[in-house]
Amino acid sequence: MSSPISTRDYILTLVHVTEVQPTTYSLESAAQLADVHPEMLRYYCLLGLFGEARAQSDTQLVFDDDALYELRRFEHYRRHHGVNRKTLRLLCGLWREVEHLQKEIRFLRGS
Amino acid sequence: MAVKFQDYYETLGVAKTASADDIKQAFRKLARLYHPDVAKDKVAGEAKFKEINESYEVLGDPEKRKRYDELGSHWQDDTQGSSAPGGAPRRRTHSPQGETDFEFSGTGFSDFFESFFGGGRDGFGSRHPSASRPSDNESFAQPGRDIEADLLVTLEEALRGALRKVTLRRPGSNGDADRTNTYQVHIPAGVREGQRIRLAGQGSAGAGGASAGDLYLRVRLARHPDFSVQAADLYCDLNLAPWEAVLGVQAKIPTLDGQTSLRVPAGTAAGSQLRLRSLGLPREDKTRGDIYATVRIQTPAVVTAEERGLWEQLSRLSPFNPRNGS
Repeated sequence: MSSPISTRDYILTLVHVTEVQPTTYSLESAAQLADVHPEMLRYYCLLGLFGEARAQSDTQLVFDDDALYELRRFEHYRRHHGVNRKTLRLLCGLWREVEHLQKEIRFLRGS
Repeated sequence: MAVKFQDYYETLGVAKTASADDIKQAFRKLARLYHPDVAKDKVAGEAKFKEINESYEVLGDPEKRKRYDELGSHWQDDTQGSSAPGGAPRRRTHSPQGETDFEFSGTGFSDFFESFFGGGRDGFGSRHPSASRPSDNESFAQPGRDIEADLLVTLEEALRGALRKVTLRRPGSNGDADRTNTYQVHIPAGVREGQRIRLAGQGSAGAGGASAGDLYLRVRLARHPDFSVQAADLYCDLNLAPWEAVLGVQAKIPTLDGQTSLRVPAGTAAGSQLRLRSLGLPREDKTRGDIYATVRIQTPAVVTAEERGLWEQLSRLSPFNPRNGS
């Protein structure tokens, strides 16, 4: 008589294939995905947290994956580390400057 | 999950004492040989090109090279959770059971690179459910962490766009099966250094029914043997013989679209930049950046007696003295 097959002897691997491409989001969608109020997101834009391109309130705001990443990062620091909006603005400026300098160094070192 | 040590010095074929210039030269030589556009075996060439790129990414950066050298034979200690000599930081994420959370393939970087030099898988978001667990009688829901991984993209892919297959494997917990997800990632033409592509809901799982975090793939443009990148513009060196700079020449230079010919005007000074319009990377407005060829004047290492005689004749004839501006 054969012994029952134990599932512990097998490693099952589930494979899913998903199509992914860069997306853009409206102000409402971005706010929903980052769990912030749309007015708060508009306020972040006016503060210049996303750079000057999104500082105008009279144009229709569109957010890409990078902007959504930043927005979620703002919210994380605000909620979990008690960072206020003024400090957030300072942090954003520093992050942007670090990124700019990293790109500059990479370029100057060349290939 | 086992992380295989990568010997970057061996990949580039240089000694551990090699200078920065030696490393750059070794990279350029190998990158030209294995570049996907020129390699005879495209698949093997591409894999080798990515290996070479990863090696140069570490050894070509003095800080990363120092960290890599400090890791040395203690690198495994680091993945096991103890800190390595020299304070090299731990970059892998671990589950509470001590297992690695994620294993990527298809990003163009090895797991070793991701562990020690990657952008950081351990993104922001909720750290661990116990970190901010409310009292027992409260309902508990904590969204999952966002995770970040680097995605190596060649300049050719950035120019034309590409479709890449990225696989993410997570070990099962409590006897569950491993879960492997494969993503067909569309890399749009004109993708820029540092740009992130979001994979919604593919980060760490949330707790208490809360949503999972996101996975972000951060674009790292592969180093090219000929070009440096600044926004959508490409920069390359154009080596000229002294007489070519004085008399002018029609020179061939590489572009991402194939070789092209560039007219170098007579009297071109060393360091001047010649622009080839619209042969760079795509911009957001659908136009293309430019290529800037920086003139480098090279002198022959060996001259024959006849050449020497001609140079001496020229030095007697010419009133030019670069030190007094005449």
